[in-house]
Amino acid sequence: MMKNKSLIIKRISAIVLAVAVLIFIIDFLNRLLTPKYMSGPLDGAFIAEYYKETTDHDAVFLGDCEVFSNISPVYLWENYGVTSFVRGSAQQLIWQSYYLLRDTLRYETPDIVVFNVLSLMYNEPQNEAYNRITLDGMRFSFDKIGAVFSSMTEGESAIEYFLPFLRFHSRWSSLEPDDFKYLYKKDKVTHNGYYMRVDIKPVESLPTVRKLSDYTFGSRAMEYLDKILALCRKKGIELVLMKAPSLVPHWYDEWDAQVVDYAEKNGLLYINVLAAADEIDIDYKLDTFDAGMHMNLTGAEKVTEYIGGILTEKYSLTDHRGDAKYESVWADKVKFYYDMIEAQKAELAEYGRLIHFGAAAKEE
Amino acid sequence: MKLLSKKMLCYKIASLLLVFTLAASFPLALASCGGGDDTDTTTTTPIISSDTKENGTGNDTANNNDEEFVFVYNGVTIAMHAPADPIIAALGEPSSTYEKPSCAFQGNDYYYNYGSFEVSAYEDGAERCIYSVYLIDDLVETPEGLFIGATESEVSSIYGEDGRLDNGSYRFIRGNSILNVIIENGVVTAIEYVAKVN
Repeated sequence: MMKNKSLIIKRISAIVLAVAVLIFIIDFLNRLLTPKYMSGPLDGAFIAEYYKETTDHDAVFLGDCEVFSNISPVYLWENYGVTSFVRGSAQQLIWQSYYLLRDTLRYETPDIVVFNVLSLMYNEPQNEAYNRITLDGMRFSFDKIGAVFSSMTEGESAIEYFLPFLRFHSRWSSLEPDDFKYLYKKDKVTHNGYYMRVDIKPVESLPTVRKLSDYTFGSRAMEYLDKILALCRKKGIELVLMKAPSLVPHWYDEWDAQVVDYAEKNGLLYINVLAAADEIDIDYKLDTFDAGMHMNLTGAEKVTEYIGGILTEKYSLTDHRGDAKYESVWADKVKFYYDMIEAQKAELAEYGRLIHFGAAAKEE
Repeated sequence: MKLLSKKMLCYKIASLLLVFTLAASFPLALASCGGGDDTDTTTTTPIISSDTKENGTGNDTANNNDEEFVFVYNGVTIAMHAPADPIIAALGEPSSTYEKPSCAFQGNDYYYNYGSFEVSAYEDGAERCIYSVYLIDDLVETPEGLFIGATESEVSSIYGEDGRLDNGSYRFIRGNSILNVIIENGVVTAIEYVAKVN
């Protein structure tokens, strides 16, 4: 009897050990083989940075590159005492924004959610590269499952999003030092989701504005805007719509009219910063780092000043400056912000261009 | 430095062993992600994103042969997904150019304006490839004879009715190329060739 009991315990222990080893191996392989985005393009590292936050936020920004390069939470903090985070990612599609909002609400309930409307132009999943940039950074949850299934393009497999080593196993032969260096800990590359660039590339010319066969936003895109609105209302969150002042891709008047109409019908605030570009003194010769697509630091701070003024005036947000709970946390963020400004300026002075900070395709 | 390299080597050997171990444990799973194409293609997909609803996800009814739609200018043939550099060189100096990083910073998108038409290209690794040609005025026309200002009936007589969309415009698909014809008030107001993204 005792012998049998001992045998059972041994077998259970062996099974537990085997499962633990298997989990460790899978976790290790996922970490090892998944691209790290710590040099070259950094944008695949943005989404995961949210999970390092230790304090809550008054405002959360959702959307594509038009939020992560145009809104500076540190500027909002320093000038308005508003705490915020940008959950932005390259070509973030609206269903991904919806699931990122759900994901965010698992941790906190902000007063305001600001959604950038450019992604309404997309009614279908676009491509795997963009999906990866948004989805690989999400922690596993039912919301990630929803995001994956709503985002996959033809031929993609959901399991490869949950076990990314299955997708990236071919990288084993081309692993780089970064893959080992950032195995368990990555550097912080954004400022609460804001991707900083201090360099300048002025707008000299723009592509021809091309006519479209249909300017109506797709039904799927609008369905997810409805879902975002419903979720915000359910949680008592104010939803605000915004359009960044980026000149490319072209923002058609027909698109803008649909957003204006939607905002009016649903009693939402819509802040069209593109239309206010002159008013807030955006200079497309100085305030963009890639000829009009993304704002650089000076442009982003002008945009943030404008949006911060509107939000604090309309929605009596608490000024947290002086609140010990936030002061020390944000002091670190402010230091990191100004240190990076100095580092980027020093690099610009030395090389005449940025070669780190995600500026080069592959850093030396 | 030397120590780091040894450490790195150990890590690499360990990771290789683990990959092989797991590969043996998950033969079905690994087989499903190979399929003769297990290279990491996540950074090589064309990602110019001007026309969002038109990258081959729409009406395929005109996709009835293996030929491609091509635009020809001064004897230079511009085919979708073709290497762009020799084409741009053959076309001569553009009147203006525009270069921007793709939204995801995975290479640049390029626009070359030649007055009556504009060519765009995407980066595929080290190579630039044609993504689109947009006709701007009626000084140029398609090889089949369609031009801006033509009537809707001329569109259907040249290309057929199969590509007609609900909104009155046309989208024809041949191989990896899409021909968009925008109709406003019964008249062609825009013609665009776009590379089909699979």
